Amino acid sequence: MSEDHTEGSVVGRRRFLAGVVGASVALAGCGDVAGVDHEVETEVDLGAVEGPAEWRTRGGDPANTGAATEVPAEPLEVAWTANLEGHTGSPTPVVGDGLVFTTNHSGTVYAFDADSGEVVWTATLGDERVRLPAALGEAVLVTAGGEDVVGLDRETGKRRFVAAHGEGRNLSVGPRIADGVVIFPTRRSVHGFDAADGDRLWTVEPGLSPDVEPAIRDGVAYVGGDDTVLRALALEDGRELWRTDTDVRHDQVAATPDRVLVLGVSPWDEVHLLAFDREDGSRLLDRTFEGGRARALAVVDGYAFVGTDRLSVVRLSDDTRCWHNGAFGGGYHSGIVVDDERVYAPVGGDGSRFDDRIGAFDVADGELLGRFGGGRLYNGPAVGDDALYAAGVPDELGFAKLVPE
Amino acid sequence: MRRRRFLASVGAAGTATLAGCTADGDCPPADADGVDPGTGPWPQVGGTPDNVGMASNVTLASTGVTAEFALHEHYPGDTLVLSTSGPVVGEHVYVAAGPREDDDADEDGVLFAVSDPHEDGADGLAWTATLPDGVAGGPALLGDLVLASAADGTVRAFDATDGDERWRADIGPSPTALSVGGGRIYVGDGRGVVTALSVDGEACWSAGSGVLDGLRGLVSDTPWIAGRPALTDDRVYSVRATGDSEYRPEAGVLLALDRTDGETIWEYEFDPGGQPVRTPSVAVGTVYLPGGAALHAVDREGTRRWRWVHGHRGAVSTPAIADGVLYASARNLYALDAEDGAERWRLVSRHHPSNIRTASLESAPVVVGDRVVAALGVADRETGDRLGGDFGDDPESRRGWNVPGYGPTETGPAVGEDRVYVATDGGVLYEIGGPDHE
Repeated sequence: MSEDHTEGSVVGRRRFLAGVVGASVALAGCGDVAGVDHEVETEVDLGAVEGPAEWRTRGGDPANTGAATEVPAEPLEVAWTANLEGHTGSPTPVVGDGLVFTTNHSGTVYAFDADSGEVVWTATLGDERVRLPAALGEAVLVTAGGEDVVGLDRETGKRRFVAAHGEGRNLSVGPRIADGVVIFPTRRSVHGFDAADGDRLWTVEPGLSPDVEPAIRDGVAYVGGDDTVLRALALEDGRELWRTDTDVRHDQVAATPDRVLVLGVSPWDEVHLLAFDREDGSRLLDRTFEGGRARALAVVDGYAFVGTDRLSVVRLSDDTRCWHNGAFGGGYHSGIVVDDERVYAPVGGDGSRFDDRIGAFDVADGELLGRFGGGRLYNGPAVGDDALYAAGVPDELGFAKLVPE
Repeated sequence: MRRRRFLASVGAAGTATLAGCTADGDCPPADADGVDPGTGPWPQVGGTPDNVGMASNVTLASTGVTAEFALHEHYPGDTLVLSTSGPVVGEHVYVAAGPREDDDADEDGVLFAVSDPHEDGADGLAWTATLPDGVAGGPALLGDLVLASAADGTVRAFDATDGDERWRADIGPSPTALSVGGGRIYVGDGRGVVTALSVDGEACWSAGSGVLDGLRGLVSDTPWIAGRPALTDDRVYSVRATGDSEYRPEAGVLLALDRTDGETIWEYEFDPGGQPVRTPSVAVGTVYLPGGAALHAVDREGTRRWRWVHGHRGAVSTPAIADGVLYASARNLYALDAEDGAERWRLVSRHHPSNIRTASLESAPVVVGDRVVAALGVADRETGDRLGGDFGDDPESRRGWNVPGYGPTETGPAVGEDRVYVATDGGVLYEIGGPDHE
């Protein structure tokens, strides 16, 4: 299917949907999986999406919006796959300046050539377990041994600095970087380090698993965690600007120009999407979702894309549900990529958890347009170099580059 | 093994049925003056009938452990790790210990009267008494008696001075810790029934929920009373939980009962979120319910005023209450505004997260003067700053605690005239904050 054909298909469906907006309609489009729950209530009408063309951190940008440009149009095919040594895991890669970086969760950091898939360098951090994905600043940042954040030279993989937090084996999510500050949470604290040399700038100690990747926007880090408190911290010194109780443990945090969104699970296994005013933390929205998992979140142009046991879209201005599709799947590092026309996210197989692929959904109505890749691809995707990168077990442990056919 | 043992006994006995509230006309009148504070400095777990855990006029001379007494050395059985009750303080320090609930040991529990924890060996022990089948809850003091629940389904009264048994009353399986006040003894049991006893052990009333209806209770709906009742002048507040494990209750109900006859005034239902439920406390007409995943503030009419979700993947403790502030443990130690649940401060646990499920701070705190004591640690009441002791979060310790066994009991310390007593599940009684002792 050509890109033009896809474009025409989307327009055609939008015309059809114009006649049924406002009602709940069960649809089974050309790409939908038979028997999978797919309903449309209101069509999503995105403006021009602005987002990074290279995802240098998980979620695409420091605000974790999932917005992207220069996203390849479906259908996709596998350009190459990269195999990682070991058997521990394969998180979502990050992409920048022609290189793709990842880890195998068990001691090795990899840089691959984005064009060829050849290994450019590897860095073995002793017997330290590299548990977490890299992020990109001037250096490649990884968490090593569960204890430190290590800055590696982007070109050579040599160590540039080690940012030690002194809390023992206490890390669980990757670092984020913005405005020259590296911020990373441990299961007890949130630390800010100088991105240039790893010097510690500040530490805030919530004390209860703030191990969810913060969202950073306009010099403010929005930090969630298990303690159900959402905090707005000044990036430069960690000063608390506001805090608010949310009653849920946080799994995803994202920030838009005017809102902070939290996707989390209450102690009663209810998934909540919460929205707060970015200036003062006042609550704007609280919507519950079926399913007990809060896997992924993206927020683009006033719409929240929510990954639970299915992929759902909510219009934030009036808390309107737009569509959902039960084909959503994925693993421990699932993501959502949104551009003007489509949404990419992991989708499950036909009832088999060993058949995950990267799915393309029509952004307007959630129709599953196709499933792409081979083997199992359950983590990611990430965007870069006019391609998608998705991790899992494409043939062996590793990741795959997906490009337009 | 408390609930497991109970369920096994029901399975053997067949069907039993309880329903509603029964009153016994032979029971002598309750104290018309309301709820008295009991006998001794700390006559029941939680200190007072309303369970607020406050000793605001006591000043501690230090902030560390000043004595320890190894109860386990005087335990006659083979159980290695004893399950220990919260202590109470009167003429002696009284504490019960026996096999853990999940221990299959067929051994009795022991009620210890410790006369001086600074003395080694038997010199520090005034007397001991047997609690058949094991320990079932914390003791309480009433007049010249010390009362204790035993896992054989009885409440037993002993002479507080020499340990002679005065009377025993059959209650029901798995009786809870005891609350005393207004000339009555209040106890819950493993059927979800609350019973009021006179000071002579006569049953005054029982308030149940219509349980043990055939085999239904053997599966997942068997209710039990969690923690001990909390008392006010006219009410008994008790928590009934249901599920197949007291470690993972599926539902809970806060019961407001008329203290004179056990009639139900209202019920407040809550979802514990799969976390254990603790004893409520009461202050200024509000019941503070440690309902597993959240702490609930429920007004006198049974309406929720606020709910605080702590986020800890464990239970929240019974809160201590003083001057409009609640102090509760839920991995961290928190101070909350009693009016709206807003956080005043938190003492952050530095316990390593890989041990998060094994040694988290969940012990009920107590207020002692200008300090808060939680587990074996002492904090500043105003700021939450650490002053000394052990909050169970030593990063160098695999279990967090630097004491033998399983850490302090969740029911919390007892406060003497100038010091605090803490029991651990390892069967050790610690004295905290006393004068330095040679």
